[in-house]
Amino acid sequence: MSTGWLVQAAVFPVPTVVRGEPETVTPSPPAVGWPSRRAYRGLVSILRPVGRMGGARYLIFAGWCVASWCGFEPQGEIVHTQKTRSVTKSEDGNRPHELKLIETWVDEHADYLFGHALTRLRDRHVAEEVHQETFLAALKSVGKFRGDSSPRTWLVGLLRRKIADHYRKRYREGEGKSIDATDLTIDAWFDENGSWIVQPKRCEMDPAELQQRADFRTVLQSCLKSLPDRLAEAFVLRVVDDWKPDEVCKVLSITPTNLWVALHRARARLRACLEANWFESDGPGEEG
Amino acid sequence: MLSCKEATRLVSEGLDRRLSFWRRMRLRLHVVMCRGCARYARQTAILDRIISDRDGEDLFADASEQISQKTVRQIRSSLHQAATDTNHPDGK
Repeated sequence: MSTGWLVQAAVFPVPTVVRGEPETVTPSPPAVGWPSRRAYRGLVSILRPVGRMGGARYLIFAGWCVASWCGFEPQGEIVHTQKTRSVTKSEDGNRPHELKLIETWVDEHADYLFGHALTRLRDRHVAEEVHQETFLAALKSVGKFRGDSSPRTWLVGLLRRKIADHYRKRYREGEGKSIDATDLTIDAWFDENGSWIVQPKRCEMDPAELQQRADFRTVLQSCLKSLPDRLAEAFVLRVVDDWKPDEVCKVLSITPTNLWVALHRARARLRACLEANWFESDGPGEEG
Repeated sequence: MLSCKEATRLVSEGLDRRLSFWRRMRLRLHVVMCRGCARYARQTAILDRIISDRDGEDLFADASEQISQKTVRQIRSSLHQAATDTNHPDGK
């Protein structure tokens, strides 16, 4: 009797097996189409109280569902106010706080913005004036700064608007010089049949490499400075700042035909200037 | 037949907007035959690309021209002025 039990325990260690893997032994749940029985039960427990609600409460629940579906997010609102808290304070007359912020921006970005303005306005005094106006505008509208772009980007946006205003004012009355009918510098490159007198040289340029080189930038900047005002303005607005042609025309008060002419001259002169100062001196130029 | 002078003008215009079909064909025909204009077209296109694709960095931001300290001081004082003005708009 006792030995029989011992043998049985040794051959069939039944209790440990059953206790160890009860899930594998029990039959799998019926396929109900849900990922698992737990998910199904969870959903039922959520929906049951809704089913027990009266009509009005059910309507409220439905309204809440629709609202959340349409994107009404109270959490988003909270984050939003937190982000602009420093700014909304100012409504109660807490100016020093804002002033301090703008002053740190003056320290950090004044030089950059000034260089930006000078390239576009080409006059130190005018650039200083517009630069100052930009910071005053920043102080006034800092409440609109959301913090989803860097302060520098935001300031550059303000500066560009100021620059466009300045152009508009300058050219509205046709005060500025108009674009000449002929460009003698460019005409001199071609003979009477309109063929090249000296053909452009061959040069392999690698855009990615040139963008990184500081010496190339210096040459490019000096070439841009050598352009006449109207050509440089049109070129910078269109190519550097990537404005649409009709916007450039409006701001500079020129016709589209004039714009194409100005851009053509600016490109031709820039290319020639680079050929003379970059390809031949220290660039990777090659005789073709 | 297009002259080189006109071709350079069309090359530049082609960078800003789509040329009409016939002008495009004439330009292409000229560029195929004329070595100088082919180089011109390539170089201006690359120049445009260098200048326009620069990941928000300004190639033309003139680092050599620094703003004078006097101007910075002026900006500060006008900022203070503006801040106090808006703080007490009716001169209280």
